[in-house]
Amino acid sequence: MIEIIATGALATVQDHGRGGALKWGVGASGALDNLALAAGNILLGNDEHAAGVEIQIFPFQVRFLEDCAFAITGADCGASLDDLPLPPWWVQTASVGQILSLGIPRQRIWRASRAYLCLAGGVDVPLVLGSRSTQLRGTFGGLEGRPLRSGDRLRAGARANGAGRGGFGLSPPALDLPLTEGGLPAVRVLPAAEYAQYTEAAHQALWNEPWRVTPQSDRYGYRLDGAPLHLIAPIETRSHGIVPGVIQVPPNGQPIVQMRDAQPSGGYPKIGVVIEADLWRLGQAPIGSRIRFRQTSWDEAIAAGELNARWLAEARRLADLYRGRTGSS
Amino acid sequence: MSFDDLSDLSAWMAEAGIDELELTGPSFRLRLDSGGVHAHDDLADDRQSDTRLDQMLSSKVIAASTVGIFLHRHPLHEAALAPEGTQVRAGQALGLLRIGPLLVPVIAPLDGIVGALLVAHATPVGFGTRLVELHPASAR
Amino acid sequence: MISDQPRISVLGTSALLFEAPGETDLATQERIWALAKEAECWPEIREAVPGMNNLMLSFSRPPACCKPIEDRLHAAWTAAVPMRIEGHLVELPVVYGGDGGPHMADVMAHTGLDIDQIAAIHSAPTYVVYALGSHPGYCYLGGMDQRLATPRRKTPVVSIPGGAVSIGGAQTGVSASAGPSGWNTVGSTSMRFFDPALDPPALLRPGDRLQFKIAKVIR
Repeated sequence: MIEIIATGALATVQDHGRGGALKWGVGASGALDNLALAAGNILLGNDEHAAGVEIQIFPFQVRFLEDCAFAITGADCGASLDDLPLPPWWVQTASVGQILSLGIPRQRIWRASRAYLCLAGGVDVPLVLGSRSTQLRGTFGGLEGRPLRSGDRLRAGARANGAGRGGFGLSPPALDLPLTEGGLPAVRVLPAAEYAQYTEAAHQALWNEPWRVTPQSDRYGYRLDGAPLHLIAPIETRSHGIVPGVIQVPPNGQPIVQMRDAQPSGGYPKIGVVIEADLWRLGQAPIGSRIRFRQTSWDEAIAAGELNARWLAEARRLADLYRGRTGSS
Repeated sequence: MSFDDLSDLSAWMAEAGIDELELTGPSFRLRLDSGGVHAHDDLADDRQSDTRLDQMLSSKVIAASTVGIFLHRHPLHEAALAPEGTQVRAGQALGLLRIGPLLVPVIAPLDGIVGALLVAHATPVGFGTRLVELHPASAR
Repeated sequence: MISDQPRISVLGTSALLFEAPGETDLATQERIWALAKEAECWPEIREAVPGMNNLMLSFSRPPACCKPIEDRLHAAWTAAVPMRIEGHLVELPVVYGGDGGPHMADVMAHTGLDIDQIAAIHSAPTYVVYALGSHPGYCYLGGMDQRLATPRRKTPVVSIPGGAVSIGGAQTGVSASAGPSGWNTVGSTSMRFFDPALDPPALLRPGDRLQFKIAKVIR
């Protein structure tokens, strides 16, 4: 059990998202940086689908109400356990009464904005429609369907066998699987249904210009600022299912990339879709930073997903080995 | 030897990958294993253990516990974890060993002052490679 | 975009989008329901999600190549017979205009109709729930009088309240909870459309019918 003692807005409980409820209008939710959440669970020996806390406003502090192993991943927030500084992407054991503090992300080497706190056994909130992720729009899932506030208490689930070993870490996938274009963080994009109906200038801008993440960007969508993207002629599309990653372009020409809390359907024209394998990169891009889109193919997009899966499998294998070698307590 | 030393010893054992260590004195025998501490008043002895203890307490070089790439600093950081001259406490990380995506700390077995880093940042090392000099703090 | 051939496109590596040809109508939607029922049994498909005369198929895992699924979709569409659903009829009182209808003026300006005409035309038909989407419990309705058609807003509104009755392009709907929207809100209502503790969690499902009643018009 942990108690939140300080939090900014919009820290939420998230897992890998809610599948299979789109037909009721329920979007997926889930961690914006799904690799960081999975890595935190791997460090603890948890199931990869276990829930953790996604933190995007700092400082953030929790008190441990019982002895508990935890992992911190995502943005490097200069974490400390009482006065012991912790490396980023690290698993540690805390004793009852200890306080974990996360500060403002340090972004010199990796410009990231969201941190994840995982607990041995996973954050135990009720499963709703198959997931523990917070559904902010529907006000269910997570803790009472809302962001966390000071005084909230979260329980850790039943501990996995062999878990509870601290003192090691993982190297962030942002460094192991880098992707940049013109010196800026990049994400790969597959053209979408209306791509061909955009002007040549729009195509050029999409692939060759930087896109600034505006302050109106959140878990629902990233509103980007750059050269306006115009259709050759206006079109109205009928509402249809969409997925996180879809780049919608409202009539003002400024694209909105749908993120994990996105609606499961929409009607704005779509110029492209950020591939699932790269959504975590966008999920970490801070407000005010600039990103680039890189055109990709189906085969490359599949290979990118497999590379992520391989990274996670290797992290899992080595973390399990290390935990097994050093810990039997 | 006080009970504080026991945690230093167990940290060192974990670092060195040693599962079991027996210490024998004039009136005691102490056996440590990774599962916990067992004290015996049995006088049956093993003189070798005294030698191992002495070696460990005066040890000035921390060696690699595994094959890996020795890192002075965390991949996300610009500053070294424990540059030469840093005062460290037992259990503190002096550097990291990187095995694929895994980062394993190279831990100070004792309180002390970091001496020379014997291997350059980001160098592949083998098991037992001498990594860091540590000048132990004066005896309690 | 309206041709006589269905169009299939990918949504990244997460899903396929099948769009039926022709104008939006109930007969086509009934074939979409039939297609959804069949496609959700295919092993590579996680969920088949009907939209307005279209169908999204989300992948349980992305296939190495989409061509075989596309071929199967074309064949299944050709064979699809309209699926009749006898749904419930739900009556919904609406307050048109006022604070609950902040974009009524825009719809009036675009359509050239006054508020009473808009309320009368909007509440006349019995709407059919074509699909759910947008947010938990939200229904896409078919059957709006095209005299009310008003383009989506140039910039989406950051939040509209639950119960907002709105018009987007040729469609109308009622928001089930507060959230962002690109549609024009013309009125408000109070009805609980979604409860995650129920099975199914949504009040309405495709094939159900909705009848708006004018509770009040605030000029």
